[in-house]
Amino acid sequence: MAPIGKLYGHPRQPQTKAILSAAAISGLEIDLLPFEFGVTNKSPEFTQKFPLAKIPAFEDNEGFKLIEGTAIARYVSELVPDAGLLGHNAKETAQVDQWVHFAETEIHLPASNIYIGIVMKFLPGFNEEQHKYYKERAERSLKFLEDYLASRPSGLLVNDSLTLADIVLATAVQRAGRTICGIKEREQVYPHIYAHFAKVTNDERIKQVFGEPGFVDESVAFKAE
Amino acid sequence: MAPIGKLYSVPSMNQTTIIKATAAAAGVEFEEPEYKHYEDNKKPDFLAKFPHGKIPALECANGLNLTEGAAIARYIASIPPNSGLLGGTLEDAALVDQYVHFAESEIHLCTEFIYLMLNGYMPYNKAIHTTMTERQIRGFNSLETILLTRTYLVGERLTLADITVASVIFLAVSYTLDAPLRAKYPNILRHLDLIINQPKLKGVFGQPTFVEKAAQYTPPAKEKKEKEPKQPAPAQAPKKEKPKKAEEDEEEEESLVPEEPKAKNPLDLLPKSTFNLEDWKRAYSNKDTRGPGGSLEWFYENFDREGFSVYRVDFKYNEELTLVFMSSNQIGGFFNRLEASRKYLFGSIGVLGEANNSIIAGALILRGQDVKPVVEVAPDYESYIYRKLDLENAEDKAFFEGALAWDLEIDGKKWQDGKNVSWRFFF
Repeated sequence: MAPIGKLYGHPRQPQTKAILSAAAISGLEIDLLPFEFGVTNKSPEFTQKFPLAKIPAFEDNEGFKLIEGTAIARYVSELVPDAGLLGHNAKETAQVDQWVHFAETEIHLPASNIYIGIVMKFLPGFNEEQHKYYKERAERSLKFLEDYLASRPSGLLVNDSLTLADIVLATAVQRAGRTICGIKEREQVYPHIYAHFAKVTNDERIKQVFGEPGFVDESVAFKAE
Repeated sequence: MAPIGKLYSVPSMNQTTIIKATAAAAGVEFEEPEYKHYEDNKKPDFLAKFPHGKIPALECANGLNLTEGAAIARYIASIPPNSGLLGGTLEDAALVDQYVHFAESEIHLCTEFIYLMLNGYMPYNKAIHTTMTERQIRGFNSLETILLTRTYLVGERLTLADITVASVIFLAVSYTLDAPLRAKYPNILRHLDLIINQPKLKGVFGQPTFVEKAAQYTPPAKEKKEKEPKQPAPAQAPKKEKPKKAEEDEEEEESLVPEEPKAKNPLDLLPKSTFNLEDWKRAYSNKDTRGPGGSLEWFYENFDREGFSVYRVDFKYNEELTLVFMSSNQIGGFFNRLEASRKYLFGSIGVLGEANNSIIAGALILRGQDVKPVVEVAPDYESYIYRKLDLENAEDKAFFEGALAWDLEIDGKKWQDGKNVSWRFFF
């Protein structure tokens, strides 16, 4: 099948993974263009189409352009309704939107800030106070999520088949497993969350999109340089 | 149309404005039961429906219980078949989602972070304040470019995208998007004016407040510099391969900020005490302060004056204090900066008096006999005067009790608003 469009993104970026997974489940192809940070995003070809110059950025074969990772993933999910990525009715769709937003703001955002601050060291001013603040916010939400998933017979968020919510959550939980959640947390504190992660990422259609989990053994600690 | 359900929220939230505007534009109604945050969201019947305990939360008559402001707004927009609020095609709907997400993550997030830091809800950090300010300006620049050639964001009519952007900008102009910046963004302002004055949205937004100068952090006098000057070193490559940098859609940051190493805490080396600070905090929270069976009674029964001491604390620069809530926030900020000493410290500090004629004063219960090792974790600790209290002395005792009972009065100034260091703010 011909690709439906081009994606400027990076294979290891969580938002890019969500988009490619949504496409894979829907049986659609998207052309992931080679991307070099500092080069591609400064090229006139890119910045003329996408003035904000951030990735991911999508352009379909008719020139329709879209930015914002979750908006792109949601659009892709709308293209093949039978794939069920947005649920089967208005209520389920609302729940998919709810969980996607929750995953982004309550889990991905704090885990990412810790990731960029501690692992990548790209956040000037990041310190122990910040680390603690984000960690505590994330833990509150992880606990709530753990209890919720424990109550789900299907082990999935909205109904009993994979939705965009499960995909986006898995990308957020992957980041949490590289920062806040070491072995102890994954196995003893949040077993249902990581069982969900395994279930989603073992799906044959999207296994290679997620790649290796890259999890840490111990929750990352802030170290003064 | 019958109300679709009940919305639990507080009026000041950005998400609430968006939801209400969306409902007004869609002709959808919902009830707004009386709701007190930090109280009602801890009650069992609320948590049974919304276990995460966060707002806004929509309880629908059809059985759906929905959270996450953006998801609620989108659901409401989708209810009437021809509301047009999500555009007319799949592509239009995707563009609406794009602008909503953009407004949230590239603009509103920054206003929120800056607000949280300037008001003591998050640890203040100048580098992050700067990063957020710059990120937001980048967002404003993009939005101005987009609106140069458009009346409405998607298609030729009002959508959820316009409502969300207008709401986010409505808040920003009162806080970070100040007069000099606004001069660069005539199209953003034109769009704001257009949307908040739509006939269908009458009464939802009210009049915007336009700030002259963006909200600034006021460090208490003599704040020690926490950071050394930025070093223009290239960003450190992580141990794994280089392309990891591209994993983020953040730009590369080049400066690294070295931290001072943490010293071992001498307070942990003091001889064991029978007085347990955590038990005290619980007693203080659960009991009335004064009277029989109260927490002061508990205190006098259990206090160990060898292991702990009681201090009076006064702000040095009371003549600088203006509005009561701002002074109260200053106390909150001070407590945030005392966070590292949390297990050695209890404090009850308040604002006494009224706007432009007030003082900050209170009492501390702390480990050991010397206040300095406990409070010097806060860079602004020298902005306050500390005097050890003798609870055998009637005046000192009255002061201590007044500070805990929140009825302290000094020179005719009455206790207005206070903070306890054992209470936390969280969102």
